[in-house]
Amino acid sequence: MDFSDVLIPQVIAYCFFFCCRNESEIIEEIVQNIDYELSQTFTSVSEDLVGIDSRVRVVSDMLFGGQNDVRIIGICGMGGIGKSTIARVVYDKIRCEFEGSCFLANVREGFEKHGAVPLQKQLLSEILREKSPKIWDPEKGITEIKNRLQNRKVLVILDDVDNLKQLHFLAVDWKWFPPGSRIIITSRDKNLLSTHAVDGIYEAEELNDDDALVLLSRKAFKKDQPIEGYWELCKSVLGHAWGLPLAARVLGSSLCGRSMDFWESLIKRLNEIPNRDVMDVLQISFDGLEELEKKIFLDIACFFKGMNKDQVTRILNQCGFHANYEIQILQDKSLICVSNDTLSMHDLLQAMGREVVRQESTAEPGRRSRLWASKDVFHVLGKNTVSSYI
Amino acid sequence: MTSTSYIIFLICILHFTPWAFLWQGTEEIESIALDWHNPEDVEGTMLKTKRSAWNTGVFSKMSRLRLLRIRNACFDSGPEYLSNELRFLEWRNYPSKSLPSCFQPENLVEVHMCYSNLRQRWLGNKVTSSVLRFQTLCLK
Repeated sequence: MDFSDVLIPQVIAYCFFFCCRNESEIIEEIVQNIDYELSQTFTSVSEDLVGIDSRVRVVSDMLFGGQNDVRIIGICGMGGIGKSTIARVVYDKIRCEFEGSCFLANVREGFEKHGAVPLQKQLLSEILREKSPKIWDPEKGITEIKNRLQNRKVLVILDDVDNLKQLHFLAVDWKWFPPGSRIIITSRDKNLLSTHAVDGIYEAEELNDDDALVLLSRKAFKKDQPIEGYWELCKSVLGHAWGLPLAARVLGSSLCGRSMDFWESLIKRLNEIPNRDVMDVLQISFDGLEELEKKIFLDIACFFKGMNKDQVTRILNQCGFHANYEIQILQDKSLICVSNDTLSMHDLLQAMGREVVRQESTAEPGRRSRLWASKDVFHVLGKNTVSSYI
Repeated sequence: MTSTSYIIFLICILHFTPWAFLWQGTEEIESIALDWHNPEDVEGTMLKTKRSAWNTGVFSKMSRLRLLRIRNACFDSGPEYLSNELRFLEWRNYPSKSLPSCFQPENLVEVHMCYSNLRQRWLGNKVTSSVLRFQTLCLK
Protein backbone atom coordinates (compact mmCIF):
# COMPACT_ATOMS: atom_id res chain seq x y z
CA MET A 1 0.00 0.00 0.00
CA ASP A 2 1.35 3.40 -0.96
CA PHE A 3 1.30 6.35 1.38
CA SER A 4 -0.87 8.36 -0.99
CA ASP A 5 -3.34 5.47 -1.30
CA VAL A 6 -4.02 5.89 2.38
CA LEU A 7 -3.78 9.64 2.57
CA ILE A 8 -6.08 10.77 -0.23
CA PRO A 9 -9.30 8.95 0.76
CA GLN A 10 -8.74 10.06 4.34
CA VAL A 11 -8.43 13.70 3.34
CA ILE A 12 -11.48 13.53 1.08
CA ALA A 13 -13.52 11.93 3.83
CA TYR A 14 -12.54 14.59 6.31
CA CYS A 15 -13.18 17.50 3.95
CA PHE A 16 -16.90 16.97 4.47
CA PHE A 17 -16.61 17.57 8.18
CA PHE A 18 -14.17 20.37 7.83
CA CYS A 19 -16.52 23.26 8.44
CA CYS A 20 -17.96 22.00 11.70
CA ARG A 21 -14.84 20.75 13.46
CA ASN A 22 -11.59 22.00 14.83
CA GLU A 23 -8.76 21.81 12.31
CA SER A 24 -6.10 20.43 14.61
CA GLU A 25 -8.44 17.76 15.85
CA ILE A 26 -9.07 16.58 12.33
CA ILE A 27 -5.40 16.55 11.43
CA GLU A 28 -4.60 14.53 14.50
CA GLU A 29 -7.27 12.03 13.62
CA ILE A 30 -6.02 11.71 10.05
CA VAL A 31 -2.48 11.12 11.25
CA GLN A 32 -3.69 8.51 13.70
CA ASN A 33 -5.66 6.67 11.04
CA ILE A 34 -2.83 6.69 8.53
CA ASP A 35 -0.46 5.52 11.18
CA TYR A 36 -2.77 2.64 11.92
CA GLU A 37 -3.28 1.72 8.27
CA LEU A 38 0.42 1.67 7.54
CA SER A 39 1.30 -0.32 10.64
CA GLN A 40 -1.31 -2.89 9.67
CA THR A 41 0.16 -3.28 6.21
CA PHE A 42 3.62 -4.03 7.40
CA THR A 43 2.67 -6.66 9.93
CA SER A 44 1.54 -9.05 7.24
CA VAL A 45 3.36 -12.32 6.82
CA SER A 46 6.35 -11.58 4.66
CA GLU A 47 7.99 -14.98 4.44
CA ASP A 48 7.44 -17.09 1.43
CA LEU A 49 4.98 -19.73 2.52
CA VAL A 50 4.57 -23.19 1.07
CA GLY A 51 1.27 -24.93 0.45
CA ILE A 52 -0.73 -22.23 2.18
CA ASP A 53 -3.17 -21.37 -0.62
CA SER A 54 -5.26 -24.52 -0.47
CA ARG A 55 -5.62 -24.27 3.30
CA VAL A 56 -6.54 -20.62 3.18
CA ARG A 57 -9.17 -21.37 0.56
CA VAL A 58 -10.82 -23.97 2.80
CA VAL A 59 -11.00 -21.56 5.72
CA SER A 60 -12.30 -18.73 3.52
CA ASP A 61 -15.01 -21.02 2.15
CA MET A 62 -16.06 -21.91 5.67
CA LEU A 63 -16.13 -18.26 6.67
CA PHE A 64 -18.25 -17.07 3.80
CA GLY A 65 -20.43 -20.11 3.18
CA GLY A 66 -24.04 -19.80 4.25
CA GLN A 67 -25.96 -16.71 5.18
CA ASN A 68 -24.60 -13.35 6.01
CA ASP A 69 -24.95 -13.82 9.75
CA VAL A 70 -22.26 -14.07 12.39
CA ARG A 71 -19.90 -16.97 11.90
CA ILE A 72 -17.31 -18.37 14.30
CA ILE A 73 -14.75 -20.74 12.82
CA GLY A 74 -12.20 -22.77 14.73
CA ILE A 75 -8.81 -23.89 13.43
CA CYS A 76 -7.27 -26.75 15.37
CA GLY A 77 -4.22 -28.95 15.08
CA MET A 78 -0.99 -29.76 16.90
CA GLY A 79 1.68 -27.16 17.66
CA GLY A 80 3.89 -26.24 14.71
CA ILE A 81 1.41 -27.21 12.05
CA GLY A 82 0.74 -23.63 11.03
CA LYS A 83 -2.60 -22.67 12.58
CA SER A 84 -1.55 -19.13 13.37
CA THR A 85 0.01 -18.68 9.96
CA ILE A 86 -3.20 -19.75 8.22
CA ALA A 87 -5.20 -17.39 10.42
CA ARG A 88 -2.76 -14.55 9.74
CA VAL A 89 -2.93 -15.01 5.97
CA VAL A 90 -6.73 -15.19 5.99
CA TYR A 91 -6.79 -12.08 8.16
CA ASP A 92 -4.52 -10.09 5.85
CA LYS A 93 -6.56 -11.15 2.87
CA ILE A 94 -10.05 -10.25 4.06
CA ARG A 95 -9.68 -7.61 6.74
CA CYS A 96 -10.33 -4.73 4.37
CA GLU A 97 -13.90 -5.99 3.91
CA PHE A 98 -14.77 -5.24 7.53
CA GLU A 99 -15.44 -2.07 9.46
CA GLY A 100 -12.98 -3.07 12.10
CA SER A 101 -10.54 -5.90 12.60
CA CYS A 102 -8.20 -7.25 15.23
CA PHE A 103 -5.66 -10.06 15.38
CA LEU A 104 -5.09 -11.03 19.00
CA ALA A 105 -1.91 -13.10 19.00
CA ASN A 106 -0.90 -15.49 21.79
CA VAL A 107 -4.07 -15.21 23.84
CA ARG A 108 -3.02 -17.99 26.22
CA GLU A 109 0.34 -16.43 26.99
CA GLY A 110 -1.18 -12.98 27.35
CA PHE A 111 -3.73 -14.23 29.84
CA GLU A 112 -1.16 -16.06 31.90
CA LYS A 113 1.18 -13.11 32.04
CA HIS A 114 -1.02 -10.06 32.27
CA GLY A 115 -4.61 -11.18 32.74
CA ALA A 116 -7.66 -10.26 30.68
CA VAL A 117 -7.57 -6.46 30.74
CA PRO A 118 -4.66 -5.76 28.33
CA LEU A 119 -6.18 -8.10 25.75
CA GLN A 120 -9.58 -6.45 26.10
CA LYS A 121 -7.92 -3.07 25.63
CA GLN A 122 -6.06 -4.29 22.56
CA LEU A 123 -9.27 -5.64 21.07
CA LEU A 124 -11.08 -2.36 21.53
CA SER A 125 -8.23 -0.09 20.51
CA GLU A 126 -7.48 -1.99 17.30
CA ILE A 127 -11.08 -2.14 16.18
CA LEU A 128 -12.06 1.39 17.20
CA ARG A 129 -8.59 2.80 16.44
CA GLU A 130 -8.46 4.54 19.75
CA LYS A 131 -5.27 4.94 21.64
CA SER A 132 -6.10 3.63 25.07
CA PRO A 133 -9.62 2.66 26.01
CA LYS A 134 -10.22 2.84 29.73
CA ILE A 135 -10.88 -0.55 31.25
CA TRP A 136 -9.95 -1.38 34.81
CA ASP A 137 -11.87 -4.50 35.56
CA PRO A 138 -12.26 -7.60 33.36
CA GLU A 139 -16.00 -7.98 33.98
CA LYS A 140 -16.63 -4.35 33.05
CA GLY A 141 -14.41 -4.89 30.05
CA ILE A 142 -16.87 -7.43 28.68
CA THR A 143 -19.77 -4.97 28.84
CA GLU A 144 -17.58 -2.25 27.40
CA ILE A 145 -16.66 -4.45 24.43
CA LYS A 146 -20.28 -5.41 23.84
CA ASN A 147 -21.52 -1.83 24.04
CA ARG A 148 -18.93 -0.30 21.81
CA LEU A 149 -18.68 -2.95 19.12
CA GLN A 150 -22.42 -3.48 18.82
CA ASN A 151 -22.85 -1.68 15.53
CA ARG A 152 -19.73 -2.72 13.70
CA LYS A 153 -19.16 -5.54 11.28
CA VAL A 154 -15.89 -6.88 12.64
CA LEU A 155 -13.26 -9.52 11.95
CA VAL A 156 -11.62 -10.90 15.08
CA ILE A 157 -8.89 -13.53 15.25
CA LEU A 158 -8.15 -15.11 18.63
CA ASP A 159 -4.89 -16.95 18.28
CA ASP A 160 -3.90 -19.82 20.57
CA VAL A 161 -6.80 -20.10 22.98
CA ASP A 162 -6.72 -22.93 25.52
CA ASN A 163 -9.46 -22.13 27.97
CA LEU A 164 -13.15 -21.25 27.76
CA LYS A 165 -12.65 -18.42 30.24
CA GLN A 166 -10.47 -16.61 27.72
CA LEU A 167 -13.37 -16.68 25.25
CA HIS A 168 -15.73 -15.48 27.96
CA PHE A 169 -13.57 -12.46 28.86
CA LEU A 170 -13.10 -11.53 25.22
CA ALA A 171 -16.88 -11.63 24.86
CA VAL A 172 -16.93 -14.13 22.03
CA ASP A 173 -20.58 -14.81 21.64
CA TRP A 174 -22.71 -14.55 18.59
CA LYS A 175 -25.73 -13.10 20.30
CA TRP A 176 -24.46 -9.57 20.19
CA PHE A 177 -22.05 -9.37 17.24
CA PRO A 178 -23.74 -7.55 14.35
CA PRO A 179 -24.54 -9.61 11.22
CA GLY A 180 -21.65 -10.05 8.85
CA SER A 181 -19.04 -10.33 11.59
CA ARG A 182 -16.51 -13.15 11.42
CA ILE A 183 -14.49 -14.68 14.23
CA ILE A 184 -11.64 -17.16 13.92
CA ILE A 185 -10.33 -19.04 16.95
CA THR A 186 -7.16 -21.12 16.76
CA SER A 187 -6.47 -23.74 19.40
CA ARG A 188 -4.60 -27.00 19.95
CA ASP A 189 -7.62 -28.34 21.75
CA LYS A 190 -10.40 -29.51 19.47
CA ASN A 191 -12.65 -30.28 22.43
CA LEU A 192 -12.59 -26.69 23.52
CA LEU A 193 -13.71 -25.56 20.10
CA SER A 194 -16.59 -28.02 19.96
CA THR A 195 -17.67 -27.15 23.51
CA HIS A 196 -17.90 -23.54 22.51
CA ALA A 197 -20.12 -24.59 19.62
CA VAL A 198 -18.37 -22.92 16.73
CA ASP A 199 -19.98 -22.99 13.29
CA GLY A 200 -17.22 -25.03 11.78
CA ILE A 201 -13.86 -26.52 12.67
CA TYR A 202 -10.99 -26.74 10.24
CA GLU A 203 -8.40 -29.32 11.19
CA ALA A 204 -5.12 -28.00 9.84
CA GLU A 205 -3.55 -30.59 7.59
CA GLU A 206 0.07 -31.62 7.48
CA LEU A 207 2.18 -30.58 4.52
CA ASN A 208 2.15 -33.12 1.73
CA ASP A 209 5.47 -34.66 0.69
CA ASP A 210 6.04 -32.31 -2.23
CA ASP A 211 5.38 -29.17 -0.24
CA ALA A 212 7.54 -30.37 2.64
CA LEU A 213 10.39 -30.99 0.19
CA VAL A 214 10.04 -27.49 -1.26
CA LEU A 215 10.11 -25.94 2.21
CA LEU A 216 13.15 -27.95 3.31
CA SER A 217 15.01 -27.14 0.08
CA ARG A 218 14.27 -23.45 0.35
CA LYS A 219 15.79 -23.38 3.80
CA ALA A 220 18.71 -25.73 3.13
CA PHE A 221 19.65 -24.79 -0.44
CA LYS A 222 17.76 -21.54 -1.07
CA LYS A 223 16.09 -23.24 -4.03
CA ASP A 224 12.76 -24.95 -4.64
CA GLN A 225 14.29 -28.39 -4.98
CA PRO A 226 17.29 -30.23 -3.54
CA ILE A 227 20.62 -30.01 -5.35
CA GLU A 228 22.03 -33.12 -7.04
CA GLY A 229 22.87 -35.99 -4.76
CA TYR A 230 20.81 -34.73 -1.82
CA TRP A 231 17.40 -36.13 -2.78
CA GLU A 232 17.61 -39.24 -0.63
CA LEU A 233 19.05 -37.33 2.32
CA CYS A 234 16.19 -34.84 2.12
CA LYS A 235 13.66 -37.65 2.10
CA SER A 236 15.21 -39.22 5.22
CA VAL A 237 15.19 -35.90 7.06
CA LEU A 238 11.59 -35.25 6.12
CA GLY A 239 10.64 -38.66 7.46
CA HIS A 240 11.19 -37.09 10.89
CA ALA A 241 9.38 -33.84 10.25
CA TRP A 242 5.94 -35.51 9.94
CA GLY A 243 4.66 -32.84 7.63
CA LEU A 244 5.05 -30.15 10.29
CA PRO A 245 6.13 -26.89 8.67
CA LEU A 246 7.93 -25.81 11.84
CA ALA A 247 10.07 -28.96 11.98
CA ALA A 248 10.85 -28.86 8.26
CA ARG A 249 11.89 -25.21 8.52
CA VAL A 250 14.09 -25.64 11.57
CA LEU A 251 15.77 -28.80 10.26
CA GLY A 252 16.29 -27.25 6.83
CA SER A 253 17.82 -24.10 8.30
CA SER A 254 20.20 -26.04 10.50
CA LEU A 255 21.41 -27.98 7.43
CA CYS A 256 22.02 -24.91 5.30
CA GLY A 257 25.51 -24.96 3.78
CA ARG A 258 26.50 -28.21 5.52
CA SER A 259 28.45 -31.12 4.08
CA MET A 260 26.99 -34.50 3.30
CA ASP A 261 28.68 -35.99 6.37
CA PHE A 262 26.84 -33.54 8.55
CA TRP A 263 23.54 -34.51 6.94
CA GLU A 264 24.24 -38.15 7.59
CA SER A 265 25.14 -37.66 11.24
CA LEU A 266 22.01 -35.58 11.75
CA ILE A 267 19.86 -38.29 10.20
CA LYS A 268 21.53 -40.82 12.47
CA ARG A 269 20.59 -38.76 15.48
CA LEU A 270 17.05 -38.34 14.21
CA ASN A 271 16.78 -42.11 13.91
CA GLU A 272 17.67 -42.46 17.58
CA ILE A 273 14.67 -40.46 18.77
CA PRO A 274 12.43 -43.06 20.36
CA ASN A 275 9.00 -41.48 20.18
CA ARG A 276 7.32 -39.27 17.70
CA ASP A 277 8.20 -36.14 19.62
CA VAL A 278 8.72 -32.93 17.74
CA MET A 279 10.53 -31.31 20.69
CA ASP A 280 13.35 -33.85 20.39
CA VAL A 281 13.65 -33.05 16.70
CA LEU A 282 13.89 -29.33 17.44
CA GLN A 283 16.47 -29.96 20.11
CA ILE A 284 18.81 -31.50 17.57
CA SER A 285 18.97 -28.14 15.88
CA PHE A 286 19.69 -26.50 19.25
CA ASP A 287 22.47 -28.99 19.98
CA GLY A 288 24.20 -27.92 16.77
CA LEU A 289 24.64 -24.33 18.01
CA GLU A 290 27.85 -22.83 19.39
CA GLU A 291 28.06 -22.27 23.16
CA LEU A 292 27.35 -18.53 23.02
CA GLU A 293 24.46 -19.01 20.64
CA LYS A 294 22.98 -21.58 23.00
CA LYS A 295 23.24 -19.18 25.92
CA ILE A 296 21.54 -16.41 23.99
CA PHE A 297 18.83 -18.75 22.77
CA LEU A 298 18.12 -19.83 26.35
CA ASP A 299 18.14 -16.22 27.56
CA ILE A 300 15.54 -15.37 24.95
CA ALA A 301 13.41 -18.43 25.75
CA CYS A 302 13.47 -17.73 29.49
CA PHE A 303 13.69 -13.95 29.75
CA PHE A 304 13.71 -11.80 26.64
CA LYS A 305 10.88 -13.15 24.51
CA GLY A 306 8.59 -10.30 23.51
CA MET A 307 11.13 -7.54 24.22
CA ASN A 308 12.53 -5.03 21.74
CA LYS A 309 15.45 -6.36 19.71
CA ASP A 310 17.74 -3.32 20.12
CA GLN A 311 17.11 -3.26 23.84
CA VAL A 312 18.02 -6.95 24.16
CA THR A 313 21.07 -6.49 21.97
CA ARG A 314 22.39 -3.75 24.23
CA ILE A 315 21.88 -5.84 27.34
CA LEU A 316 23.49 -8.92 25.82
CA ASN A 317 26.43 -6.93 24.44
CA GLN A 318 27.12 -5.81 27.97
CA CYS A 319 27.15 -9.49 29.01
CA GLY A 320 30.09 -10.00 26.66
CA PHE A 321 28.28 -11.39 23.65
CA HIS A 322 28.33 -10.06 20.11
CA ALA A 323 24.62 -10.15 20.21
CA ASN A 324 23.86 -8.68 16.80
CA TYR A 325 25.78 -11.44 15.08
CA GLU A 326 24.42 -14.22 17.23
CA ILE A 327 20.83 -13.07 17.01
CA GLN A 328 21.23 -13.02 13.24
CA ILE A 329 22.49 -16.61 13.31
CA LEU A 330 19.57 -17.73 15.46
CA GLN A 331 17.28 -16.01 13.00
CA ASP A 332 18.96 -17.73 10.05
CA LYS A 333 18.45 -21.05 11.79
CA SER A 334 14.74 -20.25 12.17
CA LEU A 335 15.00 -20.59 15.94
CA ILE A 336 13.80 -17.06 16.65
CA CYS A 337 12.12 -14.42 14.56
CA VAL A 338 12.08 -10.65 14.69
CA SER A 339 8.88 -8.91 13.69
CA ASN A 340 8.29 -5.19 14.21
CA ASP A 341 11.62 -5.09 16.07
CA THR A 342 10.27 -7.51 18.66
CA LEU A 343 11.99 -10.78 19.46
CA SER A 344 9.73 -13.77 19.35
CA MET A 345 9.94 -17.50 18.96
CA HIS A 346 7.54 -20.33 18.37
CA ASP A 347 5.93 -21.79 21.50
CA LEU A 348 7.41 -25.21 20.86
CA LEU A 349 10.92 -23.80 20.46
CA GLN A 350 10.48 -21.85 23.68
CA ALA A 351 9.24 -24.99 25.43
CA MET A 352 12.26 -26.86 24.09
CA GLY A 353 14.65 -24.19 25.41
CA ARG A 354 12.98 -24.18 28.80
CA GLU A 355 13.14 -27.96 28.93
CA VAL A 356 16.91 -27.75 28.36
CA VAL A 357 17.17 -25.45 31.39
CA ARG A 358 14.84 -27.65 33.43
CA GLN A 359 17.06 -30.64 32.73
CA GLU A 360 19.96 -28.89 34.48
CA SER A 361 18.27 -29.96 37.68
CA THR A 362 14.87 -31.56 37.40
CA ALA A 363 14.21 -31.79 41.13
CA GLU A 364 15.64 -28.53 42.45
CA PRO A 365 14.77 -25.26 40.68
CA GLY A 366 17.41 -23.45 42.73
CA ARG A 367 20.12 -25.20 40.80
CA ARG A 368 19.00 -24.20 37.36
CA SER A 369 20.63 -21.31 35.55
CA ARG A 370 17.38 -19.55 34.70
CA LEU A 371 14.07 -19.24 36.49
CA TRP A 372 10.85 -18.17 34.80
CA ALA A 373 7.93 -20.10 36.27
CA SER A 374 6.37 -18.30 39.21
CA LYS A 375 6.16 -21.43 41.30
CA ASP A 376 9.86 -22.15 40.82
CA VAL A 377 10.79 -18.59 41.70
CA PHE A 378 8.66 -18.89 44.79
CA HIS A 379 10.34 -22.18 45.61
CA VAL A 380 13.66 -20.37 45.68
CA LEU A 381 12.63 -16.97 47.05
CA GLY A 382 9.77 -18.07 49.28
CA LYS A 383 10.25 -18.24 53.03
CA ASN A 384 8.84 -21.60 53.94
CA THR A 385 10.30 -23.56 51.14
CA VAL A 386 13.64 -24.27 52.69
CA SER A 387 12.16 -26.10 55.61
CA SER A 388 9.67 -27.93 53.46
CA TYR A 389 12.46 -29.12 51.20
CA ILE A 390 14.33 -30.59 54.17
CA MET B 1 35.88 -37.96 68.81
CA THR B 2 38.42 -38.74 66.10
CA SER B 3 39.13 -36.14 63.51
CA THR B 4 37.50 -38.17 60.72
CA SER B 5 34.21 -38.56 62.51
CA TYR B 6 34.38 -34.90 63.48
CA ILE B 7 34.64 -33.95 59.83
CA ILE B 8 31.78 -36.26 58.90
CA PHE B 9 29.71 -34.73 61.69
CA LEU B 10 30.45 -31.24 60.36
CA ILE B 11 29.57 -32.22 56.81
CA CYS B 12 26.30 -33.67 58.02
CA ILE B 13 25.42 -30.48 59.84
CA LEU B 14 26.37 -28.35 56.86
CA HIS B 15 24.36 -30.53 54.59
CA PHE B 16 21.18 -30.40 56.59
CA THR B 17 21.05 -26.75 57.52
CA PRO B 18 18.90 -24.50 55.36
CA TRP B 19 21.84 -22.20 54.95
CA ALA B 20 23.90 -24.94 53.35
CA PHE B 21 21.09 -25.87 51.05
CA LEU B 22 20.84 -22.36 49.73
CA TRP B 23 24.53 -21.97 49.47
CA GLN B 24 24.82 -25.10 47.40
CA GLY B 25 21.92 -24.28 45.18
CA THR B 26 21.29 -20.80 44.03
CA GLU B 27 24.79 -19.89 42.88
CA GLU B 28 24.01 -21.11 39.41
CA ILE B 29 21.10 -18.78 38.83
CA GLU B 30 21.70 -16.24 36.06
CA SER B 31 18.26 -14.93 35.37
CA ILE B 32 14.97 -14.63 37.22
CA ALA B 33 11.71 -13.51 35.68
CA LEU B 34 8.83 -13.29 38.12
CA ASP B 35 5.59 -12.04 36.69
CA TRP B 36 2.77 -13.36 38.74
CA HIS B 37 -0.44 -12.43 37.05
CA ASN B 38 -3.16 -14.95 36.93
CA PRO B 39 -6.48 -13.81 38.30
CA GLU B 40 -7.72 -17.34 38.74
CA ASP B 41 -4.63 -18.55 40.53
CA VAL B 42 -5.53 -18.21 44.21
CA GLU B 43 -2.01 -18.88 45.36
CA GLY B 44 -0.66 -16.22 43.04
CA THR B 45 -3.12 -13.61 44.22
CA MET B 46 -2.20 -14.38 47.80
CA LEU B 47 1.51 -14.13 47.18
CA LYS B 48 1.11 -10.80 45.46
CA THR B 49 -0.30 -9.26 48.58
CA LYS B 50 1.29 -11.27 51.36
CA ARG B 51 4.50 -9.54 52.26
CA SER B 52 5.82 -12.06 54.72
CA ALA B 53 5.90 -14.86 52.19
CA TRP B 54 9.13 -13.77 50.53
CA ASN B 55 12.71 -14.00 51.61
CA THR B 56 15.14 -11.52 50.07
CA GLY B 57 18.08 -13.09 51.91
CA VAL B 58 18.44 -15.62 49.13
CA PHE B 59 19.78 -12.94 46.79
CA SER B 60 23.03 -12.94 48.75
CA LYS B 61 23.71 -16.40 47.40
CA MET B 62 23.22 -15.43 43.79
CA SER B 63 26.53 -14.00 42.74
CA ARG B 64 26.06 -14.75 39.05
CA LEU B 65 22.65 -13.13 38.60
CA ARG B 66 22.63 -11.16 35.33
CA LEU B 67 18.96 -10.53 34.65
CA LEU B 68 16.30 -9.81 37.23
CA ARG B 69 12.68 -8.96 36.68
CA ILE B 70 10.19 -8.86 39.54
CA ARG B 71 6.61 -7.82 38.98
CA ASN B 72 3.56 -8.43 41.07
CA ALA B 73 5.26 -9.66 44.18
CA CYS B 74 5.21 -7.89 47.49
CA PHE B 75 8.40 -8.05 49.54
CA ASP B 76 8.55 -6.60 53.04
CA SER B 77 12.20 -5.58 52.84
CA GLY B 78 14.78 -4.89 50.20
CA PRO B 79 17.65 -7.27 49.54
CA GLU B 80 20.89 -6.91 51.51
CA TYR B 81 22.91 -7.99 48.55
CA LEU B 82 22.47 -7.87 44.80
CA SER B 83 24.91 -9.33 42.32
CA ASN B 84 27.26 -6.82 40.73
CA GLU B 85 26.93 -8.84 37.56
CA LEU B 86 23.46 -7.45 36.97
CA ARG B 87 22.79 -6.11 33.47
CA PHE B 88 19.06 -5.70 33.62
CA LEU B 89 17.14 -4.79 36.75
CA GLU B 90 13.41 -4.40 36.85
CA TRP B 91 11.71 -4.41 40.22
CA ARG B 92 8.24 -2.97 40.48
CA ASN B 93 7.25 -2.05 44.02
CA TYR B 94 10.84 -2.21 45.20
CA PRO B 95 10.26 -2.21 48.95
CA SER B 96 13.24 -0.37 50.33
CA LYS B 97 14.36 3.27 50.08
CA SER B 98 17.86 2.31 49.10
CA LEU B 99 19.79 -0.24 47.14
CA PRO B 100 22.20 -2.55 48.99
CA SER B 101 25.32 -0.71 50.12
CA CYS B 102 27.73 -3.14 48.48
CA PHE B 103 25.91 -3.00 45.16
CA GLN B 104 28.29 -1.59 42.51
CA PRO B 105 26.86 -2.64 39.17
CA GLU B 106 29.35 -1.49 36.58
CA ASN B 107 27.69 -3.21 33.67
CA LEU B 108 24.11 -2.37 34.38
CA VAL B 109 22.33 -1.37 31.17
CA GLU B 110 18.74 -0.84 32.21
CA VAL B 111 16.95 -0.05 35.44
CA HIS B 112 13.18 -0.06 35.71
CA MET B 113 11.87 0.75 39.16
CA CYS B 114 8.23 1.65 38.77
CA TYR B 115 6.10 2.29 41.84
CA SER B 116 9.02 1.79 44.17
CA ASN B 117 10.08 3.47 47.38
CA LEU B 118 13.57 4.02 46.11
CA ARG B 119 14.91 7.56 46.37
CA GLN B 120 16.39 9.02 43.23
CA ARG B 121 19.71 9.98 44.79
CA TRP B 122 20.41 6.38 45.71
CA LEU B 123 20.21 5.37 42.14
CA GLY B 124 22.34 8.29 40.99
CA ASN B 125 25.10 7.46 43.45
CA LYS B 126 25.19 3.83 42.61
CA VAL B 127 25.04 3.79 38.94
CA THR B 128 27.90 5.26 37.00
CA SER B 129 27.78 3.17 33.89
CA SER B 130 27.58 5.21 30.72
CA VAL B 131 25.37 2.76 28.86
CA LEU B 132 22.65 2.89 31.44
CA ARG B 133 19.12 3.66 30.40
CA PHE B 134 16.97 4.79 33.27
CA GLN B 135 13.32 4.30 33.51
CA THR B 136 12.38 5.22 37.00
CA LEU B 137 8.78 6.22 36.90
CA CYS B 138 7.04 7.13 40.10
CA LEU B 139 10.18 7.44 42.16
CA LYS B 140 9.63 9.34 45.34
